[in-house]
Amino acid sequence: MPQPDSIVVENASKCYRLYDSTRDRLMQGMRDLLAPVIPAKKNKPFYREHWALRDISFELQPGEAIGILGRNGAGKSTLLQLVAGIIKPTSGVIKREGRITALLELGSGFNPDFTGRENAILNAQIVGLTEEQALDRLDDIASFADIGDFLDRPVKTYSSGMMMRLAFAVQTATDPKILIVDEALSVGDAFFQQKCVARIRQLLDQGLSLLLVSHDPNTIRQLCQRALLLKEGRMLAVGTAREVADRYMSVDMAERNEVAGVASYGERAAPLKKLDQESVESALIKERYEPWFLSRKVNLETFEKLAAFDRVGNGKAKFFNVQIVREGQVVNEVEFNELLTVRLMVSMETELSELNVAFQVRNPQGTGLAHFDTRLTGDIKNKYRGGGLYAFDWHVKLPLMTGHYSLRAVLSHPPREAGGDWEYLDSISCAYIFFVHPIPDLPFGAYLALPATLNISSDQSFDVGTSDPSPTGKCPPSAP
Amino acid sequence: MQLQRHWGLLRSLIKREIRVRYRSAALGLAWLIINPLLLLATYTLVFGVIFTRKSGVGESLGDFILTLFCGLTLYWFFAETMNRSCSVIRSQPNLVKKVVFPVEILPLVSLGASVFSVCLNLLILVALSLLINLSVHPTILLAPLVILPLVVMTAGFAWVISGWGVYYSDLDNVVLFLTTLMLFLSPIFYPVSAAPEAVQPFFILNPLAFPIEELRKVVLLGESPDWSSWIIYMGVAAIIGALGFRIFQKGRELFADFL
Repeated sequence: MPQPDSIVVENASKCYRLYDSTRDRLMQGMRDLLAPVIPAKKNKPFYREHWALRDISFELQPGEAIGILGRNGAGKSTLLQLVAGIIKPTSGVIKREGRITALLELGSGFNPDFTGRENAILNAQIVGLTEEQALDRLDDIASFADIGDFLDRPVKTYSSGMMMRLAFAVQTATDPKILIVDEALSVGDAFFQQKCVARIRQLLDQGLSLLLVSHDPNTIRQLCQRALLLKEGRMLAVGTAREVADRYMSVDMAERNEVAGVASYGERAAPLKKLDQESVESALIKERYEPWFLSRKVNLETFEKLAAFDRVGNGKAKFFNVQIVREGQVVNEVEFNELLTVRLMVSMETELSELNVAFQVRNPQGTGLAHFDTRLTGDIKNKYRGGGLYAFDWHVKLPLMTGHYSLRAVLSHPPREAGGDWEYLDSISCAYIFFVHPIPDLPFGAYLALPATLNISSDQSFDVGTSDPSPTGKCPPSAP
Repeated sequence: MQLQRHWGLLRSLIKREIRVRYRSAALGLAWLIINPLLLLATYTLVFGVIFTRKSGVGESLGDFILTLFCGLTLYWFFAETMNRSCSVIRSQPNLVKKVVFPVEILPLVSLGASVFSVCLNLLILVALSLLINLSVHPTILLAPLVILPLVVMTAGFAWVISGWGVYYSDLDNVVLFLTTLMLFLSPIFYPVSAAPEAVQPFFILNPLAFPIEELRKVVLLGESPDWSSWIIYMGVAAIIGALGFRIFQKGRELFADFL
């Protein structure tokens, strides 16, 4: 027996029968009807099978948030429909405990001729409130939707944004215990998206169980603890939201690579493989690079261990180390805004040009905070010799608030023509991890304190004051 | 039945359904009264005046009008519900595919809206009776009871038809033909007793025949309905209702796949 407010999915599969015509469907219907009477002969069925989902298993615990990632057609929406109980699995079991509210397509239950108020009341009843409860919560709904006088106008006069706002407001005003959300947060303006995310957070704090579909890994990272990755109806990965989100990006890149290899380079790109310890043949590499490493004081084991977690590329060039260096010393702990060198070491397997060497600073959830690459520094036209080893040293100040951060490193060829795809030579989700020490007087609530100059003016003369500049002396000019 | 849980929602949906039918019309809900009166006038002109009456029941034109309106009220209820049922699920794929919604109440929504029309028509019937006979039989209070089995039976048919309607839109045409046929095969323009003796027993197969005849009894003649027949009819109606619900629930699993 599942716990309250939980969902258990065991080996669920969904197969659709595709018919070429209504006539075929009728014939198959007749045959199915007669099947118990006339023993089935090995006739060719009148339909083709399409497996939208195969062998999906996972558990949504009470109070847990699970994200579902995948590209279009991966089966995400089908899975949500299954879990919501809108469609039945062809095989497998889905156990549900608790009231499920599904935001599959916002506003789909609205009648365009009725006012927002009337629709809100009826929709709240569809979700499971009584009429009195719906009327009670109307003020809440109206203030969250924030559409003003439009509440009393027919829904057909609404912009799509207003409709989404009202629909979201209605659905989340009903104290859902299990919420199923399909891409609903990717609509509407940025402010409303923030509001939606905040609302869902608030509900999560109150013990909501959440199942969230998105093709934006950042949303999943923000809201979910765990995630699963779907591809062509199968579960490709399941794990922490961060792991799965990274995996999703790799898979996505791998697919783009195949397209890029054919489209932009005339020849098919080298097949993409997972570049882990085995394929890198660490012993051999060590032997070849060791003298060079030692001169730069690197730790190959750490890098390989980190990189092996999630790495893809076609291998035309490879990172063999990524590190942060302070005055010649590799460091894992740095001060706020100190001058550091981010060193990316690359071995070119063939002669290369148009190579974009890039890294990003990511927060613990994996969201990119800052991006650096050789296009931005104007070094994209450089030519690199085959078999050569290169170190790319970026001298940067990272004005990050205290915490752990990681570096993502990517080697790529930009698209050759507009709209083309990127070719990825090597991509490492987590190439280096470092810690930024706390400093006093730095506000919380943001990751970056960017440098700025400040001018203060007033309608009257005003006293500049004589306090000390910054207690640490390391703040950017923006800090007083 | 799990239908009770959705009673509040059903009520709201029926309210909306009634309003949505006439929302954009300038005269609004007044059409609910104008419409049947216009049709009644037309049928009276054709079958009561142009064709000579041989029915025998209504001696006067006034009686004919009341007899006719009893029949039409129930026929309209049945035909309207049946024809709407064909597409009631099909026309709202959003409720089937996008939200967790008790789809089984959708056929009841159009049924409920039609029941509302029946109630209005009964009031019209009272008004007409007062106008023509200057009196009303108190047995008219039994009319809802007489109509109840028909409502239950119609619900059963509505479930079956709305379920099949999802898969085969051909059903629209079949149902439209059958309901048109029933306008003439039911004792609407004539009483059962006016039909040839040999044919009369077959009227029992027509679900409309019994309630129409009984409604006339309570409204026009001031007699009580035939209770023993009523109980049998109610029993059959309950079986059809339950069976229709079962068939619907069995078929609904695949609705979302088809729409």
